[in-house]
Amino acid sequence: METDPEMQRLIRRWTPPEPSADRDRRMIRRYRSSDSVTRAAGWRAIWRRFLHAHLSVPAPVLALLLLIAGCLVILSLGKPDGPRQRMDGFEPVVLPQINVSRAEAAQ
Amino acid sequence: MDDAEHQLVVLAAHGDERAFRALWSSHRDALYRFACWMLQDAAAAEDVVQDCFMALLEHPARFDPSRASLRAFLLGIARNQCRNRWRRLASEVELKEETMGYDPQTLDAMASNEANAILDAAVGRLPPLQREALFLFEYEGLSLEQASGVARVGVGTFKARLYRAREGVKRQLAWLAKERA
Repeated sequence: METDPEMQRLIRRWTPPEPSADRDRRMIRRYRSSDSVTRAAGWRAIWRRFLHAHLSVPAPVLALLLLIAGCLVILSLGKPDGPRQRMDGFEPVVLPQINVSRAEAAQ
Repeated sequence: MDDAEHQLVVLAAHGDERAFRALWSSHRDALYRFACWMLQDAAAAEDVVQDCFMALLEHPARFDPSRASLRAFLLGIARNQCRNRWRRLASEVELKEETMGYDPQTLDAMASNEANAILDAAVGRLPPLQREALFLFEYEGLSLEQASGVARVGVGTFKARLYRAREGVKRQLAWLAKERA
């Protein structure tokens, strides 16, 4: 069965009424509040929220935090490396006396 | 294309809003046209379009890209939604049997909004199944196989509906043009 060009031309002159201006917004709102979508997106949303999280900190608080962090770094650098070892009973090894002589002199 | 759309459906059902927006912007206008054509009520048509998308997201596995395009699948959902509304309203109008011819030139001569109103009136007098056949095949340009798939009937039945729809619109246009004159 072929299309009827005359009929097609006529009915394609028909245009639907303009949709409401907030059509897209209403649909997206409904999508976001949908139970099935919300359930599926639950864990994903938690990760997304974590990865895209923003934290606003007042400048004085930030300065104070940086100061404290700086002090902690300086204090940790001032400490000796590694654990302290007890030196009780330690005696240094007596190094043997080594004489080096030329081979010619020995002959 | 269908595989890509299938992927978008899965993503949208799992909360990917960007995927949902892509689907929405691709198909909302075609579904809205269909729902307006069937219901002749813009507000109800918008509700139908929203319901179609929510039905798709609630049961994404029902969409099988090997059986139909997403557009045809969504039109099938829209069709059911419209029929449910029709049943609730129980306002099906019987088509009057008129035997007059029609002159397409009459409609051509009218202003666009007037022609729109007359087409609306002519189409509004068609039984819903004929109205649907006319839209899917002549307006939306689906093939006979696709359109009969959306209408869930055999190709033969669909052709018969389409034939009656064409004849019905011609009669209605002739009658309306005569009334106007």
